[in-house]
Amino acid sequence: MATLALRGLHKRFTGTVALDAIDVEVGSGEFFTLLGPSGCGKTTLLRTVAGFVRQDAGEVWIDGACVDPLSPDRRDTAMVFQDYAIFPHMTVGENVGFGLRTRGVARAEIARRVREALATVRLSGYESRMPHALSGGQQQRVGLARAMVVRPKVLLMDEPLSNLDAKLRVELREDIRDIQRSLGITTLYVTHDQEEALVVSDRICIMQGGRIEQVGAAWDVYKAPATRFVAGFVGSTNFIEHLPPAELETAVPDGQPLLRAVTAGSGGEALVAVRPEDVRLLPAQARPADMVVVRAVLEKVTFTGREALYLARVAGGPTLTVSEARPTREGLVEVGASVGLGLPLGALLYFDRATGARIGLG
Amino acid sequence: MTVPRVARLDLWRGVLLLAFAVVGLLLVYPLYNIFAASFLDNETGALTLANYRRVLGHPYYQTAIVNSLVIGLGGMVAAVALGVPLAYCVARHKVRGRAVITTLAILSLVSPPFIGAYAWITMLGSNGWLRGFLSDLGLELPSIYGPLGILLVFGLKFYPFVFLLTVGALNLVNASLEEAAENLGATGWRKLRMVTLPLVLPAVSAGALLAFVLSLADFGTPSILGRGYRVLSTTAYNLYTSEIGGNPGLASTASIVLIAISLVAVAAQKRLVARREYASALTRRPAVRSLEGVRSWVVHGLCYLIVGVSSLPSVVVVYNSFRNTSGPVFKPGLGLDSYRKVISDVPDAIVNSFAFSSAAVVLVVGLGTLIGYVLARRPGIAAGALDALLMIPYVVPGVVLGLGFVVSFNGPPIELVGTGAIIVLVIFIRRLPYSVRSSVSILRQIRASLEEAAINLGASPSRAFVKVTLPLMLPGVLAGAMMAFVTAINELSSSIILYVGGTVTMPVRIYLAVLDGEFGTAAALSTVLLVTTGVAVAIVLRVSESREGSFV
Ligand SMILES: Nc1ncnc2c1ncn2[C@@H]1O[C@H](COP(=O)(O)OP(=O)(O)OP(=O)(O)O)[C@@H](O)[C@H]1O
Ligand SMILES: [Mg+2]
Repeated sequence: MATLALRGLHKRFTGTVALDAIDVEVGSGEFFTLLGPSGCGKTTLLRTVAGFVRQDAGEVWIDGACVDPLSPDRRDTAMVFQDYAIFPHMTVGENVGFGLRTRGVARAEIARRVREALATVRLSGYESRMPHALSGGQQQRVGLARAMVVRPKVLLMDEPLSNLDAKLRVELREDIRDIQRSLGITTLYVTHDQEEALVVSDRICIMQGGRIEQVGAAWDVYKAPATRFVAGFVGSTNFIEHLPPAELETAVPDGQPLLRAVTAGSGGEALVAVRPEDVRLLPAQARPADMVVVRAVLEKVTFTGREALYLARVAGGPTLTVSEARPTREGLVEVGASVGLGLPLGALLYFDRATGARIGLG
Repeated sequence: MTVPRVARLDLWRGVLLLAFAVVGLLLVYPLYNIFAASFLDNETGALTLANYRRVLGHPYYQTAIVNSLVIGLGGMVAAVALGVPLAYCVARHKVRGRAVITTLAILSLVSPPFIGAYAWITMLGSNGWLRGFLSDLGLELPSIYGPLGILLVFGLKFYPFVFLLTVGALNLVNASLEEAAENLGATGWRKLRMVTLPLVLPAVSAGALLAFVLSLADFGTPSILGRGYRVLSTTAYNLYTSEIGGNPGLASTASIVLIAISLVAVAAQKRLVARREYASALTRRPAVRSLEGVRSWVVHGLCYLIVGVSSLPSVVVVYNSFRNTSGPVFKPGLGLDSYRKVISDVPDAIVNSFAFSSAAVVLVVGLGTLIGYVLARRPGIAAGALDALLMIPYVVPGVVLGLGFVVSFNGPPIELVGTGAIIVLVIFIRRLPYSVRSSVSILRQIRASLEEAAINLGASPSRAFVKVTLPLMLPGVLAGAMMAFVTAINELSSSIILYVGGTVTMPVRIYLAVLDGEFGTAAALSTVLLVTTGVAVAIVLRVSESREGSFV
């Protein structure tokens, strides 16, 4: 068990800044996930920790020691590769035992630990199989066993599930989470699948363009996104530029920040955002007190099984997405219907138009 | 089935029939005659095992067998020792002049081996300038004549096979595998031994097999450099041509032993790589490392030393061709004497070489392309059998096939001995499999659906082939033709048995000149060969997409 600290990491490739002022502290035994769109620098960060990429500035500390002078083989980080990287000329057992052999562990001990590791990933009895006779999911589990069997200080995983089908992905991510927790290995995990990140992580680090946007627990990044980017990237969000005053119900007190923001449009200080599941679909005449209500017409209804998604157009204004959990057949509203969209005051998020940072309004 | 089974004149069935006829007549029949002769008594014609008892039991022949194994294995080891490190340096490092290195390696591969033997004699023979130079430095080298000299030539001649194949394989090793090894604690030599080398073993061993089989089969080098060091190929040749009554039975037996050894080697390599051929998932290209400081010097030094030394013979030969000579002795001064002498004395060797090679290439490319098409696009039992038969020339030394031709075509019904045609045909059949194989691999890269579209739009199958597939194949076919030309014009081991005064070729003439000590003539003719070869290779490099792929 070890801590991992990244201090002021910078990395520049010709033409791109891949890492920009990265400061991160990962606690001992923590499951820490890097989440971000393609090209944001996740892999670069992971490989910098492993020692395969050399940073231009900054330091990597593992277990209280700076590992920058150490080559990849000395860092005691074990990596699970996106493309599995199972040695095709070795049996499953030899693959899993590889790191133990290079560490000079005794034969009998290797055999025992390999057996244990394979049991942990539910591949008992596969020792003498060749990799080509394994499915993708099994190969990835071999990769996981091979990495964790050496009991590394830090376990690194670069999109380990991205080559697998949806069902297997869900199954294996639970396995990874359980195994990591039971062994208590400090883990740095990379994914661009937000659901995966929310499910497995203790904390998530959202990255964009080589910079960190926010670090926090799943709840925080979803419910309290630090920036406009995070709000848009994790889950889906309605950003409201502007609402025509004519369509607003005036039951709301004057000087309410929402009204200030939406009526000022792009000239105002703040951008308003609201999650689809927070928007309430109301009968045309309803006027609940704690909401701003805006009149709209339903343009499209999609039923996904778990929820109903409505697209509602505000005349002269934006189109908002509304999600209704556990819809009933009778409750589904028809396309073309006039409705009121309730925007609960407590659920609204405000972002600085210039910096994208979240702000509170009077 | 992509093509309607209509009983119109089926071009492809015709090709198959023709191919079987050709292979039967030029390959199976001569080899059968050799095989049969090895079991016959020369005088009585009775069935006997005496020849085998003699070859396997008599110390004279046993020595030849052991020597053959020594130079076969030695040539292989030398080729691997040079080829693998060179491949690793080039594939994993930012080496300056990579194209130069590859081109030089290819050039030493295609230049005739007996030129290497001859050039090394002029450098390291008893009067050689390099020997004199090193001797002045206090370094006394062992004699160039004998096994060491032969191995020197073989190693420098055959390492490019190992090099080219291994580079190709190294470029296909997924980068994550080597990174995973490092991440788990294996670097440097350990990573190489545990991960990288096992992954490229199939390619290395394929190159090693080529080096072994070709070293074993080579005739010119041991016969020029052997000086009493007898190997099977020279022994078979001498047994057949011996002035005091040739012995076809024994010569055939020695040939069969030679083929048997090659077959064992092929089987051994197959066994070695069985279940070790891994489908490569190249999701990430391998890392290429920049070089700095000492490491850069070492890597560049090694690369250029290897290709430099292996190109040395060609340079020396060209230089020698401009020196004044008197018999085996080089005189001071440069001039064109040797060329004048060649043109006045042996113009027919040059003319014959170009005529025979061109004729052979036309046949090789014509039939090779058609057969390649059948194997790639019309697989079946007959095509499979043909494919297997076409493996034969890979393991049959030129001397042996030459003997087979003499035995088979020296009288009715087919009398060809003494004609140019027999030389053309032996070159043709020896090269045919390479051409077929290259056509197959070219066709694998052209999607069959293109041709199907043409047929679907109303073209007959043969028209579709000519109008659609053939034009797409042309660059590859041209590259193949040039390679066929290179091997044809450098062919020695069969033609040395089949030539008569009027059908002498350049390689044969060079070989005789070296034996007679006419070093000037040898150098001038060799230069003509080298230049021709160089031009052909330049064409190949220009027209083919996978540069190295065309040569192995
Ligand atoms: N070796 C390299 N040379 C040049 N640029 C690179 C190199 N590696 C990465 N980059 C660039 O750095 C940026 C970050 O790349 P990185 O691979 O870290 O992204 P990522 O977040 O892992 O993306 P993905 O989700 O697609 O895997 C990209 O713009 C990429 O093009
Ligand atoms: Mg990545």
